[in-house]
Amino acid sequence: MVAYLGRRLVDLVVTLWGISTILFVVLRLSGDPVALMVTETTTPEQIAEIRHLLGFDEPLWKQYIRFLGQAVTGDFGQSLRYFKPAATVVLETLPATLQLTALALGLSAAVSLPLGVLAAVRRDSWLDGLIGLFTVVGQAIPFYWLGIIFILVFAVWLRVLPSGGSGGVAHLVLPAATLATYSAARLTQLVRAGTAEVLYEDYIRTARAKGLHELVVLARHALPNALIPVITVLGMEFGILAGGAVITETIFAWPGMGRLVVQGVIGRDYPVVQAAVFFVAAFVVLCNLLADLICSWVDPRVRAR
Amino acid sequence: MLTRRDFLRLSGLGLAAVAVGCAGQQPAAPSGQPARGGRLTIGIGSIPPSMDPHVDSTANSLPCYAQLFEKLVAADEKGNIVPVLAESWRSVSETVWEFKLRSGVKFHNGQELTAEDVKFSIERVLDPKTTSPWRGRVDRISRVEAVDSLTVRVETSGPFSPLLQGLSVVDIIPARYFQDVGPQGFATAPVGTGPFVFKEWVRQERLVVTANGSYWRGRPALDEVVFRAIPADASRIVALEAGDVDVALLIPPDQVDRLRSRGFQIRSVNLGQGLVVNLRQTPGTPLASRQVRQALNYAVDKNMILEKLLLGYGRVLDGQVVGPDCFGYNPDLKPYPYDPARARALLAEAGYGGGFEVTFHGTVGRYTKDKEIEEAVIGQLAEVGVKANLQILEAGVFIQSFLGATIGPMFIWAWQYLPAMDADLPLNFFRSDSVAKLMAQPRFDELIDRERRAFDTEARRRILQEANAYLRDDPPCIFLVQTPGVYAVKPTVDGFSWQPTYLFDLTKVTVRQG
Repeated sequence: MVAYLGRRLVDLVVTLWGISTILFVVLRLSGDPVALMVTETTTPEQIAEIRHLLGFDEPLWKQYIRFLGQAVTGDFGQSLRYFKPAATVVLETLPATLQLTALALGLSAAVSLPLGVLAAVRRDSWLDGLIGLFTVVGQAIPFYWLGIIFILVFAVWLRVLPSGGSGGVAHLVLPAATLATYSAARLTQLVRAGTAEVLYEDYIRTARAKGLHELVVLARHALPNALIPVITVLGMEFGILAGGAVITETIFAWPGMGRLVVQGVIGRDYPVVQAAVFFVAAFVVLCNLLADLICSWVDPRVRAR
Repeated sequence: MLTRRDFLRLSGLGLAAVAVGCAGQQPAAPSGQPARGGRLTIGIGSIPPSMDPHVDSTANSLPCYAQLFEKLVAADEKGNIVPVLAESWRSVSETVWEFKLRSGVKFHNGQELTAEDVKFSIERVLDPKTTSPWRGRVDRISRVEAVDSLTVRVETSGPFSPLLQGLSVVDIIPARYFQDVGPQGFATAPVGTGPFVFKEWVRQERLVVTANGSYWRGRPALDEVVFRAIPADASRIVALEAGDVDVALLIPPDQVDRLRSRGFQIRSVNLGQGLVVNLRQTPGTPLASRQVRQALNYAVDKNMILEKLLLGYGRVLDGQVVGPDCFGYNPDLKPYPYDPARARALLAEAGYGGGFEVTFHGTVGRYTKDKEIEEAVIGQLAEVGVKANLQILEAGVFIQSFLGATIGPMFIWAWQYLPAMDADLPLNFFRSDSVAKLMAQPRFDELIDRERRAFDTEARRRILQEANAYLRDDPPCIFLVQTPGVYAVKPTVDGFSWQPTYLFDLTKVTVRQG
C-alpha cells in the first residue's frame, strides 16, 4: 500500500510539472499581455518599457526557469490585472468555486445513486424508461440554457431564490443545481449499467438462494461491486464540473475562479491563469488519487495491479 | 392694506400654482417631495478589477470610479471642457498651463485637496512603473509644479492644446494618504473627493458606495449605490425582472420589447464611439486609391444596418468618425448615400471594375452586434464585386495586430472618443506616425499639428472640423454608426441618465418606494 501511494505521488508531481510547462508555453504563444494593458494611445516605446518592467522582454528559457523556481515556492508572480500576487487572487476565489462544485457533486451523487439502482432493479419498466429519458435530456441540455430557465422559474416567476450573486446558501442552490444536472444524468447511467451487470453475477444468485431479503442483496452484495467505477468517475467528475463552472459562474454572476480564469485568458493575465490552472490541476489529481485509494480499499484487486 | 380684490387675486394665483404643481409632477404628487435616501442597484457587465483608478481603463470601470474620484476638468455631453476640481485655468505660454483649484474641497478622509495631491496624481500616471493605461493621454507633460496650496503649473514638451482633454481622464487622489497606505492599501480602501464614499468591493461581484455627506456640490439624494457585476446579457435582464437590480446597462436591442411590456423604462444613449470599417492604405493596393475607398462607402447601406441590426438604436455617422456629442464634430457633413451603381462606376474608374479580394478582420462580442454588422458589410461589398474574406480575431490578437500595424487592411473598429469627447483623439490615429499606420498624408498630418498648436477653443474646433471634412472626402474607413447604449430602468427610479461619455451623475437620482 505504501509503495502504491509513493508511486502515485511521483505521478502527481510529474503531472503537475507537465501541466505547468505546457501552460507556460501555450500562454506565451497566445499573445502579448502588454498590448492589452494599454490604451491605443500608448506609444511603442512605452509598451517596450512596460514589457521590460514585467520581464517579458527576456528570452523564453530564462522566463521559464524563473517561473519554475518561483512556482515551487507557491509564487506565481504578480497579477497584471489585479495588481496582487496571482496565488492570492486565485486562492481568494477558489473557495467560491469549491463550494459550488462540492455541492453540485454531492447533489449529483444523491440523485444518481437511488435513480440508477432503481432503474437497474426495475429494468425495462416504465420507470426505467422515465429515468432513461432524464439521463438523455440531462446530458443534452446546455448549462447556459438550463441556468437561464432556472433563473426565470425560481427567481422571476416564483421569486423564491435570488437571480445571482453570492451571499447565503440560497445563492448556491440554482448554480449548483444547474451544474449538477449534467453529471447527475451521466452518473445515473453509470450506476444503472454497473448495478444491472452485477445483478446477473453468480454471487447475487447465491445470495438470493440463501433467502436473503432483496434489499440486503442489493445493499450488501450488489452495490459495493457496482460502485467501483462510479467512485472513479466521481473523482474525475470534479474536473468536468470545474470546467462547467466557468459558464455557470458567468450566468449566475458567481464570483468564482472560473470567471477569473476566463478574464485572465482574455486579458492575457499569465500569472493568474497559471496559478488557477495549477491549483485546479492539483485538486483534480488529488481527487483522482483519493478516488483510487478508496477503490483499492474497497477492492483489493486494484492494489495488485 | 389688503383689499377684497387683492385677496381674490392672490388666492386665485395660489390655486393656479397648486393646480400647475399637481399637473407637473404626476408620480411624485402624493408625497410632493421626491424620496430622499434609499439604495440604487445597477447591473453592469463588470466592476473594476482594482479600486486604484490609475491602472484600469475598461469602459465599465469608468462610471464606477466616477462615483468616488474626480478630475481637474471633465468633458460634458457636448464635448465642452467644464471645471471640476480646477475652478479655472489659463495658458501662461504655449507650453505652460496654470490651474486654480477649488478651495475647501475635502477628500473622504477629511484631508483638504491641495496642489500637492494634483501633482502627485499626474506624476503617478506618468510614472512607467504605475503601468497606467492613461499615460499615453498625458505623456506630453514634462513637469508639474505646486506653486502654492491651490495653484498648479503644468508644463508640456512643446505646444499641446488638447492638454485639458488629457487631464479629463486623470483621477485626483490624496498624496499623503496614498503614501501612508501604499498602492495595495489604497486599492482596498480608496479615498477620493467624489459624491460617494467607498464601502465595499468584492472581486467580480459588487462595489458598494455610500453618500458623501460633505460633498462640495451637496450630498447626493441616495444613501447607497451598489454596482453588481453581471457579465451575461440574459442574466442582467432577468436580474432586473426579478427585482435584484434597479437599472440594467447594455441591453441587447432585441430584448427591449420584452422588458418594455413588463413596465420598465427603456432608454438609449448614443455612446461616444464611432463604429467603422477601417481601410488601411498600403501603397500599391486597391485601398490606396481614394476612389476605391469612396466606392466602398457608397456600397454599404448604413441605414439598413441601423434599422435591421440595431433596431433603430444608435445613429448613422455623418461621414465622420465622431458624433454631434463630440468637440470638433462638423455639422455640415452628410453620410455617403447608399448607391451601389455609383460604387461600381467609381471602382471601374479606379481600374478595379473586375473587383478585388481583401482580408477583413472582424470580432465577435467586442461591439454590439459586431458579427452581424461584419456579415452585412461583406454581403454588400460582394454586390459591387469586392470580395472581403472575413477572419475573426480574438480580442488580444486583434489589439496586438492593430498596435503592430499588421491588421486588416480592412477591419472593424470603434473609434472611442469617450470620456474626453474630443475629435483630436481618434483623428490623431490617422497621422502617418501613428502606431496603426492607417494612412500617410502629409496634408492631414499638418492639420493635426496646427490643431495641437491652436490655443483658442474656437480656432481649434474649426481645424478639427476641417480635418473631419478632409476625411469625409478622402475616407480612411467605411463610416457606419455611433453605437447605442440601451439600458432599462425600474419605473420607481427617477433621474437616471446614461451619458455619451459612458458616465452617469447619480447625485440627483432618487428611488421611490413601491
